[in-house]
Amino acid sequence: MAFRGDIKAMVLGTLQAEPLHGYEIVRRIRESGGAGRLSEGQIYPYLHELEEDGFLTAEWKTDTGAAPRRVYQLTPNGRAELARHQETWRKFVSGVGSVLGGEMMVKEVRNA
Amino acid sequence: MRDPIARYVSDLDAILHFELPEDRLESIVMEAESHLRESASRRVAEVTDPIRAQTEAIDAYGSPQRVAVGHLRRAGRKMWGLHPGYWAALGALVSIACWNFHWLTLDRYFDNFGNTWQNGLAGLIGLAALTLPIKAARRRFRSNWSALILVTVGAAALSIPLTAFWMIPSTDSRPRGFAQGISRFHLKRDLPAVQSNIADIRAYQDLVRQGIRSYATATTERQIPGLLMDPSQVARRFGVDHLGPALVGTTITHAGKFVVPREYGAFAMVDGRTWVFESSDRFEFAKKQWATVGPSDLRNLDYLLLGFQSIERNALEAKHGRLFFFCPDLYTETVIGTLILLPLFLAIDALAVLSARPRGQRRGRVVA
Repeated sequence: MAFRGDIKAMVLGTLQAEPLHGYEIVRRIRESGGAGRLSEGQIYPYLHELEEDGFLTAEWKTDTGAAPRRVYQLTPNGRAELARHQETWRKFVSGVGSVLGGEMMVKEVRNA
Repeated sequence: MRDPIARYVSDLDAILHFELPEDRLESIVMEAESHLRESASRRVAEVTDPIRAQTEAIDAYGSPQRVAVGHLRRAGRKMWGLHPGYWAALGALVSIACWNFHWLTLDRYFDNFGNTWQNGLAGLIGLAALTLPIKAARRRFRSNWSALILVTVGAAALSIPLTAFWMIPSTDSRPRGFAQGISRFHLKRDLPAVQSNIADIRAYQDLVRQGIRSYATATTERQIPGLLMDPSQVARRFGVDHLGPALVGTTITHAGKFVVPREYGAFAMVDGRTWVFESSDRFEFAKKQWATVGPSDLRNLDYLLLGFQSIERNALEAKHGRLFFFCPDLYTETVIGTLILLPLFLAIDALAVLSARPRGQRRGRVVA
């Protein structure tokens, strides 16, 4: 079943560990299934919006040996925003999970 | 010959060309090409055919129109420094306010203004304000339906306390069809007019009773009292320009010396204008009118008197702070008049969104 999560939060989460270029970010989000029916090209506007809001910075890299790539990374504001999203998500999963009976999931989220 | 990715990138560039600043456009197009080439190169291993790999990469990326709309929506997040939804809501609110003002001034509580330039100006401003929801929807490439519903329903709800505070209606013994009132802010102007109306209506009642009695027994015009045979004196007495000819259905009669009751009922407005008598040049016609229309006009005058007396009482109480929150007649039409605009707003919004879809046509781009 296709579902669509909060794309901006997913973009921030994808960049949590390391800077990535657009293709890689989109690929990871698509593989997670959280993009719903959005096509790959429709995820880029979210990247640009986050950049405009100061949560990401982007830079063209031409020294990769391949075609030029635009590489994104989190700013301190972006990390704070991600933490906010994570907290909201924890509360949501904890609340819904306690009703739906997903004890294991709730424990995992609480321990995360 | 250009490969599919080059054609795709060219199409995307054409759609966005006049919509976005050059540097942003260049970045979007370069990033799309970078993504597609990387995606195609990874697919080549599976499908072996480079053209097919490119086509699959493009399919996964989405049509140029869909992708362009996503970028345009992002570009349209702000309109004059605010979210476009706020402008759509403001436009709807101004339209509601102007058209309600226009309607109220023309037909109801502020009829004192009459058909003046203020009404026309308010109507035009209301019409011009509709450009804001249109512009906002086109800017965002998506509907502002939630903002429009919120502001319209909110305005309808707010109009209840607003009109209850603003207007002074007739409430007690209110006759059916008597939907008049005066503004709390124009008491000094309107209360004397209402009191003058009450005095006039009483005088009208006396004259109508006299007319019914006189014509009931009269066989010749000599038996009719002088005032009922002098339309210009009656007009002067009640501050009317002149008494027009009596109209009965499609029959046009001629104005004359006989004062007759108005065929379509007696009526008076809060601004002092009255319509009670007409005139005719034929005694037999006048006699028939006084016998048939006279009694119903007398009942009309009773209703009007009750209505204006109620307004007078309420106005005197309003001077001491009384509000009229529990008078649905006061605001029902305003609420309906506001809510009825909602389908119009939503239709305009939907049409604006539909007309904003990029069509993928290059518009006169000069290629060096």
